[in-house]
Amino acid sequence: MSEIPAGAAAAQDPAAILAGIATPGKGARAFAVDRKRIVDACAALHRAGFAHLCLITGIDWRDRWEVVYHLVRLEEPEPVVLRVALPYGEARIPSVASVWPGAVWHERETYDLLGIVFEGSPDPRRILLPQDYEGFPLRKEVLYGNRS
Amino acid sequence: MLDAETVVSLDPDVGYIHRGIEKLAENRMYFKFTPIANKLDYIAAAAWEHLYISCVERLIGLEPPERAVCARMAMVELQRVVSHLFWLGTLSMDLGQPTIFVWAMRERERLLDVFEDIMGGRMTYGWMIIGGLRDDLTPGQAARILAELDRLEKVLPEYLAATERDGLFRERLQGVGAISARDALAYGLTGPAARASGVPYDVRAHAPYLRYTQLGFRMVTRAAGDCWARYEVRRDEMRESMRLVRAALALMPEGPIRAQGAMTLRPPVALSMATPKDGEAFVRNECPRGEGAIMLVSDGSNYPSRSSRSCARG
Amino acid sequence: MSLKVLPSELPALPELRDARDMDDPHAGKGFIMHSVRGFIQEMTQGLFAWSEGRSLWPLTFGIKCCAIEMMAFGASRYDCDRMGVFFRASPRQADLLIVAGPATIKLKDVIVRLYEQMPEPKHVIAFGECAICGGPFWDSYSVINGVDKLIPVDIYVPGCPPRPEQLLLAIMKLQELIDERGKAGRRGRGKTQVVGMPEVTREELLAQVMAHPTFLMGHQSGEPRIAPTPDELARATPTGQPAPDAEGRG
Repeated sequence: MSEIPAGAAAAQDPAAILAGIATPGKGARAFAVDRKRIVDACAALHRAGFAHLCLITGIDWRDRWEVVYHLVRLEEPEPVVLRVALPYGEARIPSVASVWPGAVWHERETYDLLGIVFEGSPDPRRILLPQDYEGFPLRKEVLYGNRS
Repeated sequence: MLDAETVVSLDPDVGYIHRGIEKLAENRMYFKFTPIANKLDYIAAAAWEHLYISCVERLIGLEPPERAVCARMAMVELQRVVSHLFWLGTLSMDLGQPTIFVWAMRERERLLDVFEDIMGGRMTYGWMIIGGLRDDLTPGQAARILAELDRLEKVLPEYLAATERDGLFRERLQGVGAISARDALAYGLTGPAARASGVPYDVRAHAPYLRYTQLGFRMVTRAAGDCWARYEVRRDEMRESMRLVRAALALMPEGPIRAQGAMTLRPPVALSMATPKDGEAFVRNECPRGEGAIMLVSDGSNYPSRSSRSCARG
Repeated sequence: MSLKVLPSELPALPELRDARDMDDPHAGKGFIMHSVRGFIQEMTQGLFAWSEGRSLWPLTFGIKCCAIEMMAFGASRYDCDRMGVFFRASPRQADLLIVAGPATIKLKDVIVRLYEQMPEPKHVIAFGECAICGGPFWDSYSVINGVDKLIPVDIYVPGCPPRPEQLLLAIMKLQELIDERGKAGRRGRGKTQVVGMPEVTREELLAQVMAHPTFLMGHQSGEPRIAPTPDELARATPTGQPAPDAEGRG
């Protein structure tokens, strides 16, 4: 049990932790983060006890990308949501694998299906589709349907 | 990578049953996606069906009636028992002990009969609808569940005693595959495997849904983090789940099983980030194999704009 | 942006060598040997076919949910072992491939390789909707609509998932098929059968299904469909269901 990073600032409010790194978004626990600061934001939250990375996912809004991070602290039920907006032509964002090694698979899946590149990721390969698959099927521009 | 008999490194290659479910979800109406939600984890289909249905209900702001909630809770916990029985069987099979496999599957079959009676299918259902249940849980069916649990509570200790007495099991499970709590959290391990490593994370206790707070849910953890600890956690979770099924059935009141507006298909629209997040729902459940999370983003139509799910990576 | 299409790379079915369609390799080897061998063969082929059918050894190859029902078929209530069905881990030792689940694009090479590694005589059961036609994932980019696009299938077992009793029936039908072929003298590929649907061949079943514009799952017209347009939303009725458009879709 002593191995779990309790964090000296376990009681700190996420807004206080992320002051200067992220701006509040809709909802008490949602924050908008700039792509360049996402690793700082995640590292700050991790130090403050947000030990569990629940989900990293991407959303294709047709005019922009959005990468969404859900982080959980074992002491509180509500997750903190970090949202990073990316311009549509530049689907690149730094990887947070340095904070949570387990982020790599989330990022691989987001890359595999949406084509958002996670820079600095220790494993940038596709994960679910064959390595020689062309295209990113979950993008809105790809019409759904079976081609076989 | 092997060095004689020792595994030196491992590169998992997944995706062989990748079905493109997130793309399918964008092209299915919400109520038509339920059969696929079942198949996200087919060994514990009721848990994932509930996860998906409760996510849609959160999205559209619909509360199912109390009777439906208690009935769902009973079936979700019964599904946990079934899933853990399957685990027990396959664990034994993998360790070269097919006897326990056959016994566990036999007990599981009896509960699958109950599922077929109540939910309409042995493994994949469609019983939970948005806003309630498709069919009611009758008193006769509730009595049948209780009778099956009585029987299971008598025979399960026999099987577990046979497992634990066996030197083979102990030797191959104790001290093997230890994962520290720090590693578990760093790699996103959840569920019984994480709790066996000492991580006190169970969504039923952490962010309760259904009626877990009301029924006093007790989380099971161990500290050792080896295979034996994972075995013990699931074993004790089975017992806790059987207790929860009984409690949920006792708590179930008379009343309607569907809310007003059940199967409504028009969720609120998700606008840009600056406005209130009515058009998005993120729900976590403790599925038998780990934490499950579904995020639904809506654009006001009958089809999800984005459906993302996190499978238990443990 | 184009998706990589698959079918042009798949071997067309006739190219897959099926040893059962080959001519007798011992033909013309000598009159006495041939006739003695022929005599023995005639006396025993019924026996060999019978014993082959009563000791079908499937490969442990379950893909998804149907695999769980296949395991239930192997467990104590349904007990496949009483039919001689005994799961083998190596394709070299198996003579039956029960494909229980969808053939995804990542899995297609694996399925074909396993099928080719199995020695003759071998049989294939497509167990469950995914293996027959892609099932509930028929419109996914990652699923091949039916394992019979990759390997020849003998028996189709519909269901999602089918009950283990249907697999039992499928084994019995396969035994009948093998007996028939044994009697016919050559182990050619006969008409494939659909289990659970009396007197219907796969071609007839397909024709019946395609004659109806309404599909059981997903979209009524079978065409790819993206999210409704604002016009469709505007036409929506108060219950939230979009009103059907001109072609009856919606």
